[in-house]
Amino acid sequence: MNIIRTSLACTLIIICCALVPLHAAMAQLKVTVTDAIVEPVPIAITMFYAETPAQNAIGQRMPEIIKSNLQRTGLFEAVNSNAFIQTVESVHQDGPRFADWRAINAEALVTGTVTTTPQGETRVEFRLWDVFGERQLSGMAYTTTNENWRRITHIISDEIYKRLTGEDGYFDSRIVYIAESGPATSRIKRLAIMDQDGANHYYLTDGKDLVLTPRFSPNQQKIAYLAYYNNRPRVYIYDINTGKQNVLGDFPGMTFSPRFSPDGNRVIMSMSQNGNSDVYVMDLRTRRVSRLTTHSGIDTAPSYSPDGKYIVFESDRGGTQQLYVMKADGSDQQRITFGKGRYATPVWSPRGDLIAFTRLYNGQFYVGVVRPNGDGERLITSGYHVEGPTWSPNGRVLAYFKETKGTSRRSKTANLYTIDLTGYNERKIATPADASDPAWSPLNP
Amino acid sequence: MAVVAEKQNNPYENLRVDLLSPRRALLSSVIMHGIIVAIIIIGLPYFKPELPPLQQVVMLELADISDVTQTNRAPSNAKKKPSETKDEQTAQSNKPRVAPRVTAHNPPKLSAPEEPDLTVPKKEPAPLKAPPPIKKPQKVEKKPKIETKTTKEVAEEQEEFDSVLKNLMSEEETAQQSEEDKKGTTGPSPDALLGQTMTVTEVGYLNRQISKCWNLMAGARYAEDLVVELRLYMTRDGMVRKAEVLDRFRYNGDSFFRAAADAALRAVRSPSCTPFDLPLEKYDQWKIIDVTFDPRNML
Repeated sequence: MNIIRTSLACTLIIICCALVPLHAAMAQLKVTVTDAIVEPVPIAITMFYAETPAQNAIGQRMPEIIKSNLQRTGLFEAVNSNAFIQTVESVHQDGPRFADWRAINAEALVTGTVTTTPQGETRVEFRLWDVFGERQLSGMAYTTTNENWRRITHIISDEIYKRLTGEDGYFDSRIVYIAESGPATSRIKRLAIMDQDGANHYYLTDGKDLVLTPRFSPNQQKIAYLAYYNNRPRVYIYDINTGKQNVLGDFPGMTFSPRFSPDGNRVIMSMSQNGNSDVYVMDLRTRRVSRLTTHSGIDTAPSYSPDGKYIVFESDRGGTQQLYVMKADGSDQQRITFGKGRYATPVWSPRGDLIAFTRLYNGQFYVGVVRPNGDGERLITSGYHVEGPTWSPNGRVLAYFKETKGTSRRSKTANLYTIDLTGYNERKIATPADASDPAWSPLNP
Repeated sequence: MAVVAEKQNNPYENLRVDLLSPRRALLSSVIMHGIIVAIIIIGLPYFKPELPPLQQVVMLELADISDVTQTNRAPSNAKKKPSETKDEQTAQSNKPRVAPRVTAHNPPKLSAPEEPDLTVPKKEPAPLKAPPPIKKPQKVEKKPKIETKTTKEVAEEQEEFDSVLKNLMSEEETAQQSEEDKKGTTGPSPDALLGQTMTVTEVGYLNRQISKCWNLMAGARYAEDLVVELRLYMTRDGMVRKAEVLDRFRYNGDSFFRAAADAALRAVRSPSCTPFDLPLEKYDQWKIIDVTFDPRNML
């Protein structure tokens, strides 16, 4: 009993002690802020400290690429390096003098060093600083071959982006697209691949055969696309690592508009037979094919939801071309768009929250997004011809191609563009020639 | 004429040509085949692209500088120690002196004509309102997180017991006050003397000072869930001596919340908005300020 009484007394005393500061702390002001500004965050990115000329060449270029990556998001604004008060050497020796960076209105600061390991590899260290809070937010070191510095730069950009926005980045990724050249009557189309910022550009096919609609595998270095070999349009798979191309299955009709499932094990596509197109899925491991739609209308352009449970596709079964969502086994087909004009090329966001599409209405093309239940349709860009949206790996940015009329009556130019979900930040991706049908890769492995 | 006749009478010339033609044909055939083979070989690289394979990168997380000072690290890091700590100290000691000077730099930044962007979040669709059947499990986790927030805190962070109560109170008060004052809410302590109570105007002014520096990243995912509560410990000259995120558990576990909380921390530490312009005679009322950053109206 005594023990219980003592412990009870102790508990009471503890509660009383706890209540005293609580009471004192109540004497404080409470404010709820509901208005904010929406401005790019000013970020200062210094040159990376290096000791040898070779390291210095990298140390000078890395910050430029990081700056370009971050500025392209529209969320950051690089502080002009001419305004920097503290030198790179000083930062390297003494760490950042935060007052100097506050004075030039930098809210975040990126510093780094480039060194060489005893094995001859390049080692890059970077640190991200909170200038107002005077603390390090992130710090990473990367070791790789000397030629691979560009990739490290993208990985660093992703790390900065993730720490400051909370969501995964998309800079260490690639875009595959159709490079076009030659006159309109005999257009040469080649499969090409490049980093998301347009660097490291390579052609994958030679242009002898017409290629269209490339799609990246979500987890392998493979591309599904449509090619007209021997004038027979069929879906092929291109293995980036080996350079091999294989036709996907032996179908009686024309196969087109392929897309991988989120686990990379299946390819969903359309097959046209006797004038009717339906959606089919092929398991890449067993090569088994299942038919998912049976309607007499044209069902095409299927795309999986990121959890693999649903498929969005376009169909003209209702009289006009509209978007429909069905379960992955083909059941429960529901129409989700009811707008005027035609809807095409739906693609489900990797976040799962939106479906991007092309819409043709009143002779004008639009790229828009809609929620999977058909709510909240928003057209975010338009043009004489904009088409074929593809999502960045984090689902915040769309890439698509835009055709513009040239000076002469028949001439047109096609280019790739990116736009973020706000719709206010459209940027062109530089390509060596005309470009269409972009497909964004997942983050590089 | 003699020459012409001789030529015509030479039977071997035509014969030689006839004999040679199959050999030529063979030769040209070999050359042509050679060219085809060469084209195949040269043409092949398109199918075996020069595309180099992706190279791997070895990653290593770098410790915070303050951690480095306290642990036995590699010599290169160890060298940094004294100077960095010293610098941090000098930077901190400079803080009050620097702040007013920095404020002078503010107008250019704020004058950036970004007004159209203010509409941006409104255009941003609320991702969480996606239809129930298509929701990712990840998203489903998000909601409960908020709803059970306070329970979690109680369970996992005993030292935050008082802050949990205050969060709830501040929410209640916010709800009541929001009807009276859409812009800002104030919760003068019940034991405050009537004359010392902060007026609605004073609190509204503070609210505007903070919101001027609260930068909402357009397009942030789940932004409607990212309500951040900070506790500010103020100095008499209106500077934030210390700022802490009340939901430390979520700060450490949710990268979206952490980014939102960091943006809120930047707002109250920004030289553009501090020192806060507050009546010194009511210092007791504002020496501790709980600020709730609620982005829901912005979306």
